[in-house]
Amino acid sequence: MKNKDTNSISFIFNEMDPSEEVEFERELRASNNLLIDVESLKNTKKQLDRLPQINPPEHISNSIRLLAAKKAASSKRRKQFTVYSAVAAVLVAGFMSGIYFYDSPEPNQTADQAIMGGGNNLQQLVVPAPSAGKDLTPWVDQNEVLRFTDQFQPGENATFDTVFRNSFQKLTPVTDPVQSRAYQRNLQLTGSNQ
Amino acid sequence: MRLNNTDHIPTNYEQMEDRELVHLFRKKDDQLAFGELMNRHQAKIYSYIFSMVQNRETANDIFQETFTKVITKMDDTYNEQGKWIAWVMRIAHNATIDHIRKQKRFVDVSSSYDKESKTDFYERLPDEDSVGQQEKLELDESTSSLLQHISELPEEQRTVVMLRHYYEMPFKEIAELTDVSINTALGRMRYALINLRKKFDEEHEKETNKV
Repeated sequence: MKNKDTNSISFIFNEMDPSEEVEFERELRASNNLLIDVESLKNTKKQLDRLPQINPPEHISNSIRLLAAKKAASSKRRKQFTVYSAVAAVLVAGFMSGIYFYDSPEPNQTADQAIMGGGNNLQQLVVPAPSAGKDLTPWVDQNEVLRFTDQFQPGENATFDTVFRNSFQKLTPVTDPVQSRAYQRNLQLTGSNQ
Repeated sequence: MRLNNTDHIPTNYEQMEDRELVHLFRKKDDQLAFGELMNRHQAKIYSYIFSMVQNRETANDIFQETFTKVITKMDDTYNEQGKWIAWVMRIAHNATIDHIRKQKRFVDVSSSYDKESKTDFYERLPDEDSVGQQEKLELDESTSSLLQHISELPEEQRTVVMLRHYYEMPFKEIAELTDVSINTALGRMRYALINLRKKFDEEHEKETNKV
C-alpha cells in the first residue's frame, strides 16, 4: 500500500503530526482525485457513528459482579489470615524466647550442669554427691580385670553385710558343667574384702 | 481525587480514574470500585465482542470468559503502569479471535477456494449463524443493515474498525494488539472503509431499483 493511501486514513482519523497535516492539506489542494478519495472515506466513516453500544444482559453483568464480590471476600480472608498468622508467629517466638531466657544457666554454671537440666535442684537429684575426701581411682590388673577400691565408713558395716548377703544368696551352684560351657563368659566378677 | 494509604474508601467512584478504581479493587478488595469499572466499560467491550461474533449467546460467553479472566488474573498479570482498559481489551480481543478461529477450524475446508469469486474461504465465511442474529437486539433497520455489512468484512478489517470505533484506540496500539505494522493497520482500515462504501452503494442501488 502506498504511503499516500495510509496518509488519507491518518488524516481522517486525526493521527497526523501537525507538520504532516500541513503537508497533506497542501497535497489535497493540489490533487482533486485525492480530495475525492478522502471525502468519500470520511463519509463512510461517518456511517460508523451509527453503530450502537450494546449492553450485556443483566444476568451476565450480575454474575460477573458476584464473582468480583466473591474474589474480594476471599482475598480479604486471605489477607486477614496472613495477618493473624504473622501475629501468632510473633507471639510464639516471643513466648519461646521468654522461656529460653528464664531457664538459661547462670554465668558460673558449667555447660554440663546446664545440659543436665538447667536448675540446681534437678542437678542435685540426678548426680550423686561425691564422697568427701574419697578419690576412687580404678586400675587394671595383669589379668585384665578392672578394679577399684572403696571403703565403708565405720558404722556402715551393717549396710555392707546386707549388700553382701543379698548378693551371695543370688549365686547358684553350677549343676550342668557341659551346658555352662556353652556360654562364653566374657565377664569375670571379682570381689575383695579390703 | 487522590488515594491515600488509610483504610478510608471513598464513595464518589464516578469521579475517580480507572487506575484508582483498579487500585481500590486490588489492594482494598473494594467490589464497588470494580462495579464502577464495569459500568464504564461493559457496553463497549460487549459491543466489540458482539460486533465481531454477531451472535448474542456467543457474545455472552466470551464476555463472561473475559471478565472471569480479568477478575482472576488482575492480581498476577495486570501491571498498573498500563491502561487497565487496554489490558481488558486485549483479553477480550484474544478470546474473540480464539473463538472465531475455533469455529472456522470445525468447518470443512475442502471447499476453501471458490473459483467463481476467486476469494479465500475464510474471507467469505460468516461467523457461525451470524446472519439474522442482530434482529434479536431490536435494532432499527439501518443499524441492522450496518451491522450486517460489518459482519461481512474480513475478520482483520472488522477488528481494526471495531477497535477504533469502540475504543478510539490509536492505530499504533491496534497494530501492537493485532501483531502487525502500523501501515498494515492503517491499510486494513482503508480497505474496510472502501468495502463498506461499496456495500452502502449496492444497498442504495437496490432500494432505488425497488422504487
